[in-house]
Amino acid sequence: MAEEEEGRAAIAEVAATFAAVVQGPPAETRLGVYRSLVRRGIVGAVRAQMPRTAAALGARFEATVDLWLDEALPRSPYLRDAAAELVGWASAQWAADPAVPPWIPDLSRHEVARFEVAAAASAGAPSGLPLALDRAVSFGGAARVVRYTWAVHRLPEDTSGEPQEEPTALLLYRDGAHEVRCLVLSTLAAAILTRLLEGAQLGEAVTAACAALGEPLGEAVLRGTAEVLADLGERGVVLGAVEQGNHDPGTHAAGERGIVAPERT
Amino acid sequence: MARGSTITGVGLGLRFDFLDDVLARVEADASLGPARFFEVAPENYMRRGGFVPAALERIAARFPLLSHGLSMSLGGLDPFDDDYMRELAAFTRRFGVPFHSDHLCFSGFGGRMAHELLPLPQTRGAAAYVAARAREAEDRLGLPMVVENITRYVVPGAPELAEAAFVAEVLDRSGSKLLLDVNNVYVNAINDGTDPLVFLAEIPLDRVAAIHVAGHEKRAGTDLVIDTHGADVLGEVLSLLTWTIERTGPVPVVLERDHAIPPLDELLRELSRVEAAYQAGLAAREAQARG
Repeated sequence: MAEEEEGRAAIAEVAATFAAVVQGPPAETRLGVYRSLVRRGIVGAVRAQMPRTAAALGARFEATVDLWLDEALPRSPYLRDAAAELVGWASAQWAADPAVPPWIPDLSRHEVARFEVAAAASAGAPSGLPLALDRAVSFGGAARVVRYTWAVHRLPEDTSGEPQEEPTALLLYRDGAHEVRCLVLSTLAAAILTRLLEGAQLGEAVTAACAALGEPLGEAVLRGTAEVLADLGERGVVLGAVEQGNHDPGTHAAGERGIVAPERT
Repeated sequence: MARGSTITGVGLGLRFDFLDDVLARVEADASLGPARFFEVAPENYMRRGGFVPAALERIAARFPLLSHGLSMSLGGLDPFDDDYMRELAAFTRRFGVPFHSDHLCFSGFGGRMAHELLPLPQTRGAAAYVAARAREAEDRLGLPMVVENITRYVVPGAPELAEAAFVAEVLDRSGSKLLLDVNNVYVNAINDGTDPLVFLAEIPLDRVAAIHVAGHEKRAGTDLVIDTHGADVLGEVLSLLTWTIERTGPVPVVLERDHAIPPLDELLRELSRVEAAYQAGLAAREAQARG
């Protein structure tokens, strides 16, 4: 045990040295090699996940990553989480920097969100239970609602162009062929789906969303919600009701599409 | 018995760059050259859904896997990440790997991850500490831990032990086996101006569970050689492989390639070079046994 404690102390001393090197200024020494190795590995992983953000920012991207590594470094043992950690750290700075295009925070979040949906752990099989107002909804396809001020999802893949300023709510999900898909949501659909994804019961989600948006809760909303959920069921995003509480087969969603529209991503 | 416990011969470190190509050949039941198995970094597949783990499932249906981690930070001072260890245990169980390997290093400090292999002080205390961590990892995974000698560009702290003695001390104290990276041995020897065979002669070769080979490159503007896994394996490194196999007998040998990855056919030709060196080692061993 005493030996292990000595070992801990020796490692702590060495770790402090490496921390100073990795998060310090460049140095043309053998120790300094570690600074560039760490940066090469992390920058490569981050850039691969957000190529359009990196291209749009140019040299500023590398400078931001450099500063992040100086001040923070990743926390997750998964290298693929580094881009999300960077965006969490840099978004406010980018938003406050007049030299950075105002849509960069949205674009970076969108690129990371798409990656996260592509890689998210798979959900279980369909519950087989019909949807009901007094039950929560089970989602698959790694679904999530994202909101942007800029329509960054319409940017071309080749990194050219600038997005339009247009408040946007999207549902991102992964289809059966593992491709990430993107549906444009109405404000109400986004509000309802956000609550459902947080685990609210269907009735609560619709009621709360309408109240929050000042939307009268009537037949049109209920029908529209049913249509959306039916559409998402066909896409493998809605897996059925969560198995808890009572269920009312009469509320099983069915109908036509309307609130959501597919979007090329 | 773990599915891969009898793995020998040569295999390839599976990378995303050629995952599609490997999968296509697996689906078509086409040849993957001398590859007898694939080694995977579990961090690339753990806590993950979608195409990548689905592809691995299909590949694992035809080929046994070895599990070689990147992020355990075996010599780190931060406690093991509970979620990470749980996911890793589930991954190793799922694919029936015979052991899990990670590097004899630390990868982070103060809750931060450098995602790089940082060398440990070569002291008896550090060996005792890492060995205790290796035993803890083994308990938590329910699987033998295997530790890999790393490339290092400095020898940090005040070393009490030569590198080979440090590695041997960790193996003795932990009961772990060794993933011997002969390219790392070569790179360290070149950078130190020493003979790689001196290191190999001091390593307990009877504890070798697997071997890595890879290529390396000179750092621009310096004499320093960096373990990039970005070039073909040097003949000198293959000679070290042959020398080692002559003494260890058949073990799994993994070709690692992480940068400047050539098309799969070219990589498989490179693997055939590794296979030839491996077979030369076995032949020499057999000749020696015959007297």
